[in-house]
Amino acid sequence: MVEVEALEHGFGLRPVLDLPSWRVGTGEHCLVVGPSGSGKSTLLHLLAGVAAPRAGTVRVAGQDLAALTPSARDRFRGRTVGLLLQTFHLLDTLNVFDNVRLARRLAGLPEDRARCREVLEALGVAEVARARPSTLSHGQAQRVALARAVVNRPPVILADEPTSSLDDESCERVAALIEAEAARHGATLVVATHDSRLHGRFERRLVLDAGGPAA
Amino acid sequence: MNALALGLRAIARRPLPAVLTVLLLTLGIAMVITLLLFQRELEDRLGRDARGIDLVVGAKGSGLQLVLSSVFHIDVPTGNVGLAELRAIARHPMTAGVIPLSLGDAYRGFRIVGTSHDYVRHYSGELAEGRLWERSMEAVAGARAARGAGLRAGDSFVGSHGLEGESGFHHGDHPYRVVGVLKGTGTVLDRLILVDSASVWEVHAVHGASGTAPAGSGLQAGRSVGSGAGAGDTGRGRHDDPPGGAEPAGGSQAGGADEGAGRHGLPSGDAEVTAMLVRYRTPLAAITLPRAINSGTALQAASPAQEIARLFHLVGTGLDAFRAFAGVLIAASALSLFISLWHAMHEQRYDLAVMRTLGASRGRILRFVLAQGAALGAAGAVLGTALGHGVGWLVREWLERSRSLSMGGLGWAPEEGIVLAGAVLIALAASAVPAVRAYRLDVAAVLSERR
Repeated sequence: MVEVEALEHGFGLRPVLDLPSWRVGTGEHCLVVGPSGSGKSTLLHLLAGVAAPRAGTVRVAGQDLAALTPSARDRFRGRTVGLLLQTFHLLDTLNVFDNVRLARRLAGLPEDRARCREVLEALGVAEVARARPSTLSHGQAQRVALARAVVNRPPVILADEPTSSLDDESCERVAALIEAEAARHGATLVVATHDSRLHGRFERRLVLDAGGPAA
Repeated sequence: MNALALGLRAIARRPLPAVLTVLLLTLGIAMVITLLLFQRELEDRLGRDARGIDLVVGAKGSGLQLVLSSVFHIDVPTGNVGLAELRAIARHPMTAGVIPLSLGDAYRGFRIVGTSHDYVRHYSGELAEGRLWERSMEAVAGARAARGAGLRAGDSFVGSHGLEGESGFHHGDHPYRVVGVLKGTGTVLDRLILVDSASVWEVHAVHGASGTAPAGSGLQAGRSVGSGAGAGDTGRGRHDDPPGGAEPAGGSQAGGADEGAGRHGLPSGDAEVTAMLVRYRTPLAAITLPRAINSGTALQAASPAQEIARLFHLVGTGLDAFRAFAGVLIAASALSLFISLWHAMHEQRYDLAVMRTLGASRGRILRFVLAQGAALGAAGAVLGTALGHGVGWLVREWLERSRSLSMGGLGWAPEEGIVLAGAVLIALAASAVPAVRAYRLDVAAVLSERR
């Protein structure tokens, strides 16, 4: 579950997000849509706790992020939030398996190599476990990034523009994959995108326009 | 997968700046370690060789030269002095003991030193084989001299003029017979060939008669103090059998080692020796005796302790220059490390941001960057130490071959630990600013950038 109340955020004097109230329940999937600069990514960053709001409350899995110390917030994020970024951001100094393993390590969880293998197999990239991310195809890299996001079985999955650079077929496949992984763990899923191809897939939608909910 | 492991992988991704940084640090540390080892070894070795020798008395000239030639055997002597003059010092109430030294010849680069058994006892020499000399033309080789010159008990050899070995005239008609070989002592004794003083007089006696002896290269009966101004000269002179066979013209002491020696440790007669090592009976002697000798006689007295201190003062300037250069290298390596990590943090900002999204705390990111600096610093320190010891080993081998000052094992010096820790600390200090930059990374801003 994610929930925000009276959320305000901005850069300097420029407000970028003003969201009076919004909630996505446990296991629900929600699409956040809007044009570039509407505050979609900012909302995800606030939900992930990598940025602090100027005002308002952010609750993730029932936890008020502002109530946590910075290090506790980092640990909480590692265990509770799976973040899927548009450009994957896989660490090229590590191979695929270690990229996934790193997510458990940095969250302070046991390494559990079996779990890492399991999630790579489930997403069909076990055969490239020893490969460097730079050698992967776009689709493989996206699956590895998803594996890294879900390896800790997070109750909340946040995805930022996961399909924007994909063709229709790949877009369909990736969206289905993300939804399936979220459903497998009963996770709350929030996908921020301006990709209109995804609009019909999600039961709930938040439309942002210039930092606030569209009328 | 801890911060160090991640740091090492990050370093491996940009090897060139890492190699340059480590190379600079390695050179700086190697220079520091080499200087450290040699200064320590030199002080230790010179201190060991000079231990128990309070004063050296010889011909007028440079005090440092007198000490270097007579205590450490690494310079030419200042000349010769008559036993009659030395005897007065030996009998002085403040003198506890004396050891005569007669230089001038060498064999295969190892000096032949005419002396008394007291010289062997002074350095706690022990026989590895054979016995000490008992009569003229018997020789005992120090451990290194025996090894280097291939001498064993029972062998014969012929000395040659001069202290450098092969350049002088060979005393073909006066062969020495090796009667003993000493065990290693870790002192100057190891690289000397010891004979009775009378043997040296015997070999050089004819020069006194003919007047063609290279001054200072041999010892002549009846010559006056300081007559050997060119001591150590490698000039040619012919040594024929002395009149009267083995009997040195200088006295009756040729019958055997220490035979006929006076009660103060000097041979009787009025022959010449190169120098005399003196041990004080009382500390007060350090104040009065050198002054009395230097101002009241034609002799020169030099304190090994003072001359070594003067030597280190002279050498110290050069060592300081090397230390300063080493400091510049280490500072350059720290700067290189700083620049390298600063750029690396910019290049790795996406990785750092992703690590933060995966749950890494700011502290963990800080440790990740510091670990990279510490790893490079440790690599430079370890490689520098190894290189420093390698250079030390090479120089020691060179000194061994040159038969000059010998060095010990050049093993681990306690100060090296401080140098190693210092190198890592410098690396950590150089990493601190990039680490703080990474610590303060704005994750949301980096994730919003377009790659």
